[in-house]
Amino acid sequence: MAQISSGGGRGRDPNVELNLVPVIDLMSVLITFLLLSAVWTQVSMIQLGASFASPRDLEQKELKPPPNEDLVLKLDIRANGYILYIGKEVRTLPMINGAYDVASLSADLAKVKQMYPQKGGVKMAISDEIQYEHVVAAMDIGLKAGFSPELLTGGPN
Amino acid sequence: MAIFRPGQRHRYHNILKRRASKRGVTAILSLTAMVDMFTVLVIFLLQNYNTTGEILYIPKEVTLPKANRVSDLKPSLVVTVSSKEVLIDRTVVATFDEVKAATNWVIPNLRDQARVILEKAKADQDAKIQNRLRNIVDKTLGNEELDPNAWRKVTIQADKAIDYLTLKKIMYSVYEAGGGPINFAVAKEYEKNDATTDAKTQ
Repeated sequence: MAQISSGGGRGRDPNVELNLVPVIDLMSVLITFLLLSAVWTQVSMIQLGASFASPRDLEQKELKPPPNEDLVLKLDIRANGYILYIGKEVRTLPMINGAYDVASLSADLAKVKQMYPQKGGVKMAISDEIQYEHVVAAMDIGLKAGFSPELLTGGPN
Repeated sequence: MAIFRPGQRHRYHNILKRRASKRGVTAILSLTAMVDMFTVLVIFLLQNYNTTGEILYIPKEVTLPKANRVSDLKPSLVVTVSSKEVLIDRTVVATFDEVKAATNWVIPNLRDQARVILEKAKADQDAKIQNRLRNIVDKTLGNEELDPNAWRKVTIQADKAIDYLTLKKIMYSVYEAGGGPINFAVAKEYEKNDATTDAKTQ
């Protein structure tokens, strides 16, 4: 049992004993419960913006175009790198050492957000052979820069 | 004040020293370290505790991609795409090879199963909305607002190595069944310089 000695005094020290048994009991139960219910991999979700077949809100009668809709902001994800279209400007971001140039894309998108803060979404055209991991990575970069990812795809042939 | 010889001394050396006397031996455990450890453990586990209550079943074959601008999971229809099969809520609807080889974008079994589940979800939600309207307690609490499109939400959890064409076929089938918006399940990754990275995009 834990005890606190009050220091020097006459004769024996008066000890104040803290009863730690209930604390330890509580801790043990709590730790057991938390360990049993622990989720070691936190699964979350990444949200898509409008995509090729997003359902329309039936209650919304008047369709208002989002701000800066006339400004083209499109990201092509290809097997050899990214191609970013900002208005009439085209920036090619080829792969570096077999990996996508994430840093440059992130910096470019951040600049675009600074120039056009009202622009809400980045359209993404993705080649068929691209792995899902790279799709999510690009969407994540878009979200980091403040753009909602919108997937563009052709329909079935 | 007593003068002690320098060196290591147990905190209870005065008590232990009494062993020489005829009194009973009192062995005292130092619980401080254990309580400290318990406290740290409890704090760590509480921080990792899943507060949303939404837990996805992830098959062994599925390795989720990582992202850090994420939102909390919401209840929805879950479509799982692994390198072997496609599942809707743990029910296999097609094999991966079938979907990959298909020239038609619509996967009939996936679309039909998804449609059945979504219709059931819609009926459940309609019933819930009607019950809520009758429930005065909910009205007073201000909880009656319910997203009318909540039943349509679909979460796709796919292996990170899946090709985008296969994913497009699955998304197309889900939309054909009346589902959407679609969200992608990802493993949350923490940034070193920014611990609070939850995105609120809606």
